[in-house]
Amino acid sequence: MYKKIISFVVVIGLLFAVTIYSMATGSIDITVKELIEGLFTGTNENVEIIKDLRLPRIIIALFAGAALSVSGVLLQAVMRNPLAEPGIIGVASGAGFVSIIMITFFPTLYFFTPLFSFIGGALAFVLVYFFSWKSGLNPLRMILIGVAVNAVFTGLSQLMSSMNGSSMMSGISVTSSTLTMKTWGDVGVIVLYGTIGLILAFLVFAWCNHLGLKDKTLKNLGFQVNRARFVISIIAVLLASIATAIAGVFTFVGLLIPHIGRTLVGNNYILLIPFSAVAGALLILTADTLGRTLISPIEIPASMIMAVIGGAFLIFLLRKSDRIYGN
Amino acid sequence: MEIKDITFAYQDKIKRLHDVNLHIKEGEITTIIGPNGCGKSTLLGVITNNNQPQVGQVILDGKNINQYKSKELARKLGVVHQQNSAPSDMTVEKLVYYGRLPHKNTFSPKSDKDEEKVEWALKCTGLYEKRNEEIDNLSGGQQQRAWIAMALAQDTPFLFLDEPTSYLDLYYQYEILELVKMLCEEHGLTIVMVLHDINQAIQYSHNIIVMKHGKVVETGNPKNIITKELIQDIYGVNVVVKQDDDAGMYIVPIGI
Repeated sequence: MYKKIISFVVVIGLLFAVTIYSMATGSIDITVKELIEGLFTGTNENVEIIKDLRLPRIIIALFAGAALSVSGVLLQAVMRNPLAEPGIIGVASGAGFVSIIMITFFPTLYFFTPLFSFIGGALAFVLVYFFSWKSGLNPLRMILIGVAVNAVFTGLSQLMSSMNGSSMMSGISVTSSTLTMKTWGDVGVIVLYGTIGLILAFLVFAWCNHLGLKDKTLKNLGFQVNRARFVISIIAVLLASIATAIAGVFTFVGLLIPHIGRTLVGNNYILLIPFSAVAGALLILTADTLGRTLISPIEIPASMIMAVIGGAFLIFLLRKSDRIYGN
Repeated sequence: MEIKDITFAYQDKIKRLHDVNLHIKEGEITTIIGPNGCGKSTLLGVITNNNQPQVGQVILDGKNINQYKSKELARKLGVVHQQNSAPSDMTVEKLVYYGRLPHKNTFSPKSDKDEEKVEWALKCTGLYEKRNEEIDNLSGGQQQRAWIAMALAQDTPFLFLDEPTSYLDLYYQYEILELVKMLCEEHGLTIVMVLHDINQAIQYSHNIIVMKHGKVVETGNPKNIITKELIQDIYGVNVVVKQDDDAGMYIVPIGI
């Protein structure tokens, strides 16, 4: 129990610290005191610039991290598969692909990008589910189908990019993610849909817990397994697509964070979902902050840093613990 | 419970059950026996609404079981499957609380009745002291009892057990069988189970259903139906059927 409380306290503390550090650090460097004064008075010119350029980026990093991690948690619950993750099974690349297609052919519909993303993510998810269903879900088969679906959508997106140059793609990056050039408009979208998704995700925690039992056991308890699966899947796809629409594709975070969460706070989703949201936000923000400050003015994409930090940390945790989810 | 003209096949279209007709007597222990692949578990699946038969129906309290709402049916039938799995860090008590699911809505809190039933189920199965342990740390026999406790917490008049004694040591096998007997005698549960051991079936059942190739060959009181010829026919094994003052009726296999 102490381990769980400490894990929460540490992660929340770090999240605050990194957020403040991230706001104060960069090409314009100010002290924390100046920053806080500026935020309240609105008189410090540097702080106004930070508000316009840096703050949207930070908020987007936080929400994208939270959304992708929680999406991973939900997909793992629904598919009962420790490898399920929006990046790996193609939900993110499906979301990216459909957005690119729509924006290429109907540029005026730019503001509907989140909707197209959602449709694309749902399409990929349905494909994976449909092709891997053979009187039950075989975990290995499902991941392989997911990898294949992901490959197809990623390839198609790259094809689209190379066909019409990069100018049209300002909103969406397909294969990696950058959080530069984000506006308050983007923030509005991700905060709105992200918050809705996260709240819904938390509301279904009990269903996620139930899915830890076998289908036939649940059926004999009168639990409507398929309805729960359907609802949880929609929430997972919503979260992954919105993050992809605004922040681009971050593979791996939806895999890393839930596993880190399971080793630290256990498999109960009432803790795992909020923990993953906070830890995912922390990971992406840390990665993005390091990415833009380490060797500035050159920017390292956040997804790269995230993969390096997160991967190393996961190996460390797995070596220490004897339990791996799904085993 | 009436089982009428059941014919069932999985997706491969091979018929696993042919024209099965049975009457399950309430308040008694009924055991299904038969060789591997004869359709025992498939039949149990049909009468617990996990397998949908192509032909026929299962009538419970005057109503076809597939007409029941899922929770309504779950308040009548408790099922313990042969293979179960739960998250490794779940405690026994948490697991047993799942048995209360059919009595609640998604967001309703624990009621006194929930607590009472869970406590009863834990005590019946001798797991009350172990309620805060994680499932993974229990022995095979204790795990099996934990799953039975979950079904008991469901508080159903019918309890179905699919090979509850498989993979257990002799002691734990009898522990489970004694538990089943106690549940029937003291709490009036109707119990239907699948067993492999014919002697255990004879010893603990009021009725036996003998199956072969998806058909019911014989059904009735063990004393009336278990004969040398029947076992030879069903299992292809030579047995002698004995009667003993202490052991009652039993069979001894002597060759094939």
